[in-house]
Amino acid sequence: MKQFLLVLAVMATMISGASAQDYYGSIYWSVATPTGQFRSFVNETSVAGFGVDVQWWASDHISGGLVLGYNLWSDVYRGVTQQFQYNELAGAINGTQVHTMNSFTMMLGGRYLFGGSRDVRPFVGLAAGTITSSQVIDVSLVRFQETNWHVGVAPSVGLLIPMSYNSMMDLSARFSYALPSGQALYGASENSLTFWSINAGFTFGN
Amino acid sequence: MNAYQRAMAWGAVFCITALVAVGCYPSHGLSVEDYDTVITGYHPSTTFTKYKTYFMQDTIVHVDVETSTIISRKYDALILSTIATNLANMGYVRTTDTVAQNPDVRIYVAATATTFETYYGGYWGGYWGWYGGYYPPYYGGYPVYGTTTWDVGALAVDMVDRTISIGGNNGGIVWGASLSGLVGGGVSNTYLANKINQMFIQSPYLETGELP
Repeated sequence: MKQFLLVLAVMATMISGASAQDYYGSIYWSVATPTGQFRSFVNETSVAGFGVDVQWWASDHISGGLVLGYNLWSDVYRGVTQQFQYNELAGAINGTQVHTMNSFTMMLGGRYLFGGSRDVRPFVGLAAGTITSSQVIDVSLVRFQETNWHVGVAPSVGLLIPMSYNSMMDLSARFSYALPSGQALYGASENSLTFWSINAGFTFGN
Repeated sequence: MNAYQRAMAWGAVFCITALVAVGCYPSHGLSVEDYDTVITGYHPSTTFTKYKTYFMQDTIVHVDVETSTIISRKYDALILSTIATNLANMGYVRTTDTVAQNPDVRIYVAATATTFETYYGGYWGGYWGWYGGYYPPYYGGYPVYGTTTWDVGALAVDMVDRTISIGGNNGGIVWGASLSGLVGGGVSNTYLANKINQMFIQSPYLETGELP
């Protein structure tokens, strides 16, 4: 992981040296933990996630642009029974289950940044758009899967810490809320998706 | 750095990040027992409360010759008695005469097993390189081969009502259960009893008639 962060930092610095002056980009590692009913499907904090933001400056303190991300959760549950219905056959399957959730975030969002361009800059952000959820339950060779698109919002707070002329460390916390859509495989009354993510990466540009 | 180089660098950063994220995908360290399953199914239009009596043969059908070479018959009595105990606990009465007592349903128990074999091969003790007049790459050493085998089996328990019609055919399976997994040293009396009990634990409607 240290090598990865070092390579990322070097490349971010290289890119930032020639970036245009009206936008900045962030790429970050995302550690996410589920909340709400989603926890009953997979109760695990996942380190398998990353995100990319590209923001254009509207003023010295306000920027807006794309917020993209990917998070994956997966955990194993033993001795669990899952009900199923397949054509005219209904029943249940008992065994070791591997629960997996893949989620992509594709939003438009903005940030309000405090402070000057060379300072440590706290910011608050808000993004809205779509979040996908792909629930998978694997029981031996049997797979149950449910994929849905959700309308979602994601408020965030964070810090940009200057590293060099055009690069900064980007630390943020984001709460993602995907509104109910489709059915939950795990028996929840509504198929919403909520999770906190802690994001750490680099921002380049100005 | 021109625009092309900048785009390439962007792409490289994205790919490295994505690869690291995907590399974090957990394997969970599953063992062979984690692939054992107990599956039960029922025909949704069945009224199970109308069934009071059943007939079950005193032997387990091995569906082919290979099954008999893999699965021992030393567990037959345990399997049949565990099924009978569960059915009795759910209120079913076992009959022994299919003519005089005319049971409501019949229970059929069958087993199947097969052996899978995987071959692997390679060379040992050699090296890659040029050698004499041979076209490269020449590889010294000698071949080795090995096999990995595993036995996979299933135990099926079916409840058949001969008086109903399913899919245009007279008689049909109104409830079925299957225990599937690896067959080997891990099988024991306790293992089998627990798995058969599970068939009935996840099928309470056999007693209550209330379908999920």
